Amino acid sequence: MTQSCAALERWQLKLQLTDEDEAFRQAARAWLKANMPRTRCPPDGRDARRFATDWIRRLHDGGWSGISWPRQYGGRGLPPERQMIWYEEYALSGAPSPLDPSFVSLNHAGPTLMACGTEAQKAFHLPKILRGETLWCQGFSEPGSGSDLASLTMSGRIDGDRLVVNGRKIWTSYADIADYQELLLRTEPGSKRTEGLSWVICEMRARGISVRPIENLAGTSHFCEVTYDDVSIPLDNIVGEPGQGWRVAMTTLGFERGTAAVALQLALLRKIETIREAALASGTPMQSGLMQRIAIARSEAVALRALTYETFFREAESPFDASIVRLVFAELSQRIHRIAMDFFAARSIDFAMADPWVEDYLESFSETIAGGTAEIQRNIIGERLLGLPRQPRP
Amino acid sequence: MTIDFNLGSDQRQVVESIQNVLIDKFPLSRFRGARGGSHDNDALAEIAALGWLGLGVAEEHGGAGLTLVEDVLMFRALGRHLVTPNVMAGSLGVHLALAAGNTVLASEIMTGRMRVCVANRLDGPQPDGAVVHALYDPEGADCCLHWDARQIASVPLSQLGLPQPARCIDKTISLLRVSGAPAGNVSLIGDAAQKLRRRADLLVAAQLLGLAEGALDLATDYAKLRHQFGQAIGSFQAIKHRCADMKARVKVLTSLVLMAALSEHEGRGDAALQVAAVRLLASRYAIENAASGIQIHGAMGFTAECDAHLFLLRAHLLENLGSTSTEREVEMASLPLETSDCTRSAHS
Repeated sequence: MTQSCAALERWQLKLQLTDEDEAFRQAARAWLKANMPRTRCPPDGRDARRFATDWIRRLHDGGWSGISWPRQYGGRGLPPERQMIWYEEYALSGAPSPLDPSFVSLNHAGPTLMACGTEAQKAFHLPKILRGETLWCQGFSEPGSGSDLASLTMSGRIDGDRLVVNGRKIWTSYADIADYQELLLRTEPGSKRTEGLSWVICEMRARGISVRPIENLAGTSHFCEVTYDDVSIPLDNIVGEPGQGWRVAMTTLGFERGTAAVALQLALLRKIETIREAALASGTPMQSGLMQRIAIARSEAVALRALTYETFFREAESPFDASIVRLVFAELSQRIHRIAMDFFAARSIDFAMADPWVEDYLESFSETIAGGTAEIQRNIIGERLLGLPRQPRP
Repeated sequence: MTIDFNLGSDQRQVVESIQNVLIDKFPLSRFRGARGGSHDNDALAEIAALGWLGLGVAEEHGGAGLTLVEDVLMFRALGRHLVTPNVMAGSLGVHLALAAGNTVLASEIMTGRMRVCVANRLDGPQPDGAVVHALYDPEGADCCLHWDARQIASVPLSQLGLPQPARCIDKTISLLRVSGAPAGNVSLIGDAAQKLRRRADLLVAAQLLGLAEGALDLATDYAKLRHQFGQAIGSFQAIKHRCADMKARVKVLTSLVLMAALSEHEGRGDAALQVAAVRLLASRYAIENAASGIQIHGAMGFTAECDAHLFLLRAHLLENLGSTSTEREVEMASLPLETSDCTRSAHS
């Protein structure tokens, strides 16, 4: 190798896939084609659970779950390039949306346990998650604490080696069919705001838990209110240090806002492609308002893929970068679904005539609310990334 | 790692050394009190001497031996300092000459002995049906470079008709209007032209990214300093969220500029789609950021004294360079699915 080639090797910016990467891509593509379900995940209830756990099991048996998770926990321990290739193939194949009852366990409970959990917690939970044996839900928001998450009041009283938990959580997706919950609560009496919280693994079948599904604006009932009446949880279920739950929760939200949705982000490319092809096939003029919006949204979907790569393959300037990813994804997702509604025009009032866009369009309203509203993400970007002053509090 | 979006230490050094020159020689204050006309032409010889026109040119052709990716990083910095687009004209002129096999011309442009300026076709019906081009900062230039969807060419200024002075929307740039469409003496069509056109689109997009960043930083600094109702205006969500949107645009555009440049450099199958996307978004985001920057500055933003408007004027100057926004939207709606695949082989 000449000297100048050796010098170039040190340079980092690169986007090169090897023949082995390519073989991996072809294998992923072929496997998905042969094995993916041709139907969507049912919206809620036991059917949704069965669909999600069957599909995860199948992925696991085929060797396609936990691509970048450590081998000791049942993953394949492959480098991030392979993980990205898998996400790309998954998103472009038209396989069922990963935003199903397994989303929390695979994309933020699992990663949070890996980042903050004890060896025992990891060894017990991670393999079960990858095999689709357990599903998780998230318990952060409370009726009185939404955007102002640090105002949460739900508490756990320490009694020997147990926590006795009372209170309410809300907007918990799939609480009715999940096995475990990421539960954020106050474990130090009298503590305020971000102090004295703990992130706890809560078994959803424990005595004293009652779950009430809530019907959403799309007419489905996948999110719930959960009430806790003297629920007893082992102290060993605390993830991270007791009282340091806010830091663990921010780790979880970092995944939720950042890397959890990689496959969803890439899937927007396929969605806008589907609309574009339908618009072309129906003779929509090139120089029309609809085509202009499709062209812009398509550019933005290509840009979101680049942002996804950047998040995956670059040292983050700040953990709060994830808020940009979340904001950009959420708003683009809504724009793309709105374009679809405009394409279907009058037919868009009929679920079957514009299937599955009507349901997806209505569900897309959650994108700018879940995981921190778009307004909260903009506050975070303004204050944490740009250093703008906080709004004075009363 | 086979994929890496971190700048290497050598790349960071190159960018830093370029930024240091720009901070020293090209502060925005050079435009204060500008009455119209070119500002950077006198510095073009020095820029050529620094080797910037040949940064992405192979060493065997007398360049610095770096790539399109480093060119893109440099033009992002140049865009932020609103350096004349004729640096880009020179850089592209070198690549045009090399692609056409004219190494002598390439060397003359790279070393600054021959000067190139940008020419852009002005669309719309003219009274006599003639084709009209605008020349950017043409003083001292020997030839002009123009490109469109089909071709890229350079034309000696001596072959052009009588130029008419015109008033440019960007008062930091001088403008001459010329009629007629003379044949280029060095020109490319076909695949070679498309490749160079993608390079041009990337360099334009990089400059638009740079000025979008400049607008963000200026507005954010002001939002921290300016007090009303007893507090910094940046503490109000109405201002903070505008700044956040500007930051998000910069972040998204930075990612796409980098990925599109890497994809073009590596010859990936979807490079054309990425370049089309980045060129389309860069114009839109740069104008949106510049406009937000003006609004955040309030009445000061509306004055000629405040730098905020300079980003808007330059964004418009670059917006329709080489293609109009309508042409780009049609292209982006038309490019086939195959090219959007991120793999080397077509998606089944």
